[in-house]
Amino acid sequence: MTRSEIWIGDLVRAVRVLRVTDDATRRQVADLLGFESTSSSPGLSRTDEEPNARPHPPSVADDVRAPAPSHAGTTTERSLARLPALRPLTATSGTAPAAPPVTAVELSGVTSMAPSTPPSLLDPLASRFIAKAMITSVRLGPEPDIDRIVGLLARLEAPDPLPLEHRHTLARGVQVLIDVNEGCEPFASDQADMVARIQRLAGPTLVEVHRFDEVPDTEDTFAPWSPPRPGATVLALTDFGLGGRGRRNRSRLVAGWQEAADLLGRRGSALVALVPYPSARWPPSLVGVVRMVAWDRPTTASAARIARAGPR
Amino acid sequence: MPQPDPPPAVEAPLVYTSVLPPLVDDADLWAASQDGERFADRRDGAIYHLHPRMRLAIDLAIATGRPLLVRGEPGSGKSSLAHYVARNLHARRLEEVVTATTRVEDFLWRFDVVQRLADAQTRRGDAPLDDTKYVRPGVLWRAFDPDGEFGGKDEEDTVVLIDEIDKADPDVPNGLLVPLGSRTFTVRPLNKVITAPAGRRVLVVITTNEERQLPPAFLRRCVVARIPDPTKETLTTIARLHVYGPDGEEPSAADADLFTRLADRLIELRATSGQRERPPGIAEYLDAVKACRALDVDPAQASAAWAVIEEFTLRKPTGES
Repeated sequence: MTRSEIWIGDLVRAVRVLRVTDDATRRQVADLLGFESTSSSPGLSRTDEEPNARPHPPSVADDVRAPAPSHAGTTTERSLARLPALRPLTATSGTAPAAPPVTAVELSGVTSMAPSTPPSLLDPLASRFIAKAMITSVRLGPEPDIDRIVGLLARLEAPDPLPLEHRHTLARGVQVLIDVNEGCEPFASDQADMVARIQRLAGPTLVEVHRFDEVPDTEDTFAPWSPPRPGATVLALTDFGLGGRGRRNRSRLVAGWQEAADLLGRRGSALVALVPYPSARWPPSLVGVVRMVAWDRPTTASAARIARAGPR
Repeated sequence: MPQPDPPPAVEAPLVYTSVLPPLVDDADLWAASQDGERFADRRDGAIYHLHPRMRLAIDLAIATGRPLLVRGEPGSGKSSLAHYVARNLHARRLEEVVTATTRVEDFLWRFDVVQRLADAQTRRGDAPLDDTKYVRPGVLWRAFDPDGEFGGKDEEDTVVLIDEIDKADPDVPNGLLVPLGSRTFTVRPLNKVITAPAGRRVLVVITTNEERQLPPAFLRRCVVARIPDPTKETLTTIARLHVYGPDGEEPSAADADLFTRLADRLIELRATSGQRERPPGIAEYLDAVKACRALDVDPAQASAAWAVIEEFTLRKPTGES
């Protein structure tokens, strides 16, 4: 049985064993255990932007609350609980002066507003797992697949070639192809977010990024595309020309993608794509050539995994 | 030109009763290992400049029985922390350096296929080989050591360093949740359950350079502490500790000036390093100190030699293409 996540019991135990008596040390203890503190040491606080900052710690003021058990509540409830505005109010020591209400007069003084960030194409809670499913490749061996060997022997069949265990790995690296054609402009921030996420997942040294216009072209004058090392997964962030006016006609565009997929297939690399349009609009002649996943909210990690595995 | 120091951040002292013995530097061990100061990467735990918050993190890991995940830049002293604590606890030290091909089983056991193949080729007769002879213990098996086969004693601590877990595939940290959380696992080839005895204290220190995001489920089960960024004060203190030893005299005026100038330069480079350069850390600072002292180069002279030393020691590419 797996030991549970860090919870209030760990905090109580730590405070008791270490005989912590002052608030400043209590806050440090709570912070190190992943509880969010209302004040933290200068220069030492973690943020959600940091790759290994603890995810979504609960809020703690002078009192301390435990992280909610992972099985508690529905996904929606858990998501809402992470929104600062919907967190339950926390009692604070002392009596703070009430903030004056914001009036229309004050708001009228606002001369500019920061542009609001559009919601991400994927469900933020699932995007990590979708990205991982898309870029993970399968490595054979080195261990033999005992179950399959036993099955073959039981049927009096020779295990030739020797079945090897399938292992999922990111060690072969990833090449991310970013389509910069006009139709992809609305998705530029999603493309950047996806690249950053993949770099956090696979490590920056294993991620290669190439920008292209409509089709990755090895003979492009300005940005010739080179396939990655054999076996590396290639993830294209593209609309396959669905959203823009397009420099190439449709048949040339499709032929270009087919050529790229062939080249990668010969090198043992899979070509997968996140497409910001529903499957009904995907170019039919590319559906069997490129493993496509809809870049949209309903997409799940499981769907991505199935698409990544390809036809069986 | 050295910049004036920013005012130091005021931090409240941490008030608690540590479960650790006094953590002290070992002057004799430091002196014995000097040998011309050719130590690039100390692993003897003789000296360490321990931030109070990191000490609290170690206390917490022991008090709660959770693994300690140490975050920080390369060369910031994450692995050295484990060695330092192990020496002070008089603990057994076990270490597994993680690579891209490391699997969960490698921490638990390994099957010595090479030895088995060799034995299979040289055996006489038809007697089958005993596969159980080829199962080798991994670092956690040796740490839990229920039968005392590997030197584990109930009254003795064990510190396990799992170094650079971010190099592993993302499934590996998740696969460690059960063995680390429940201190038990099964050796499949032997069908043997390995469980750490109740009295066995095992401190697991895991380091990450943060090259790769770790699974949230894993993070939620660890005490997570980040080694604070170096300040001018910590850098000069560390330099003095490494050059003069724990019980050493005050640095000469020339050395004190060198330590300060290099600390200023390092902090300046950290602030200006862009995407192509990795911010230099403590390891790079110590390399520069040792190089300047050994080659008698003064950074204040702005000589060609200093330019080369700076390029080779303090300026490191990120490693990205």
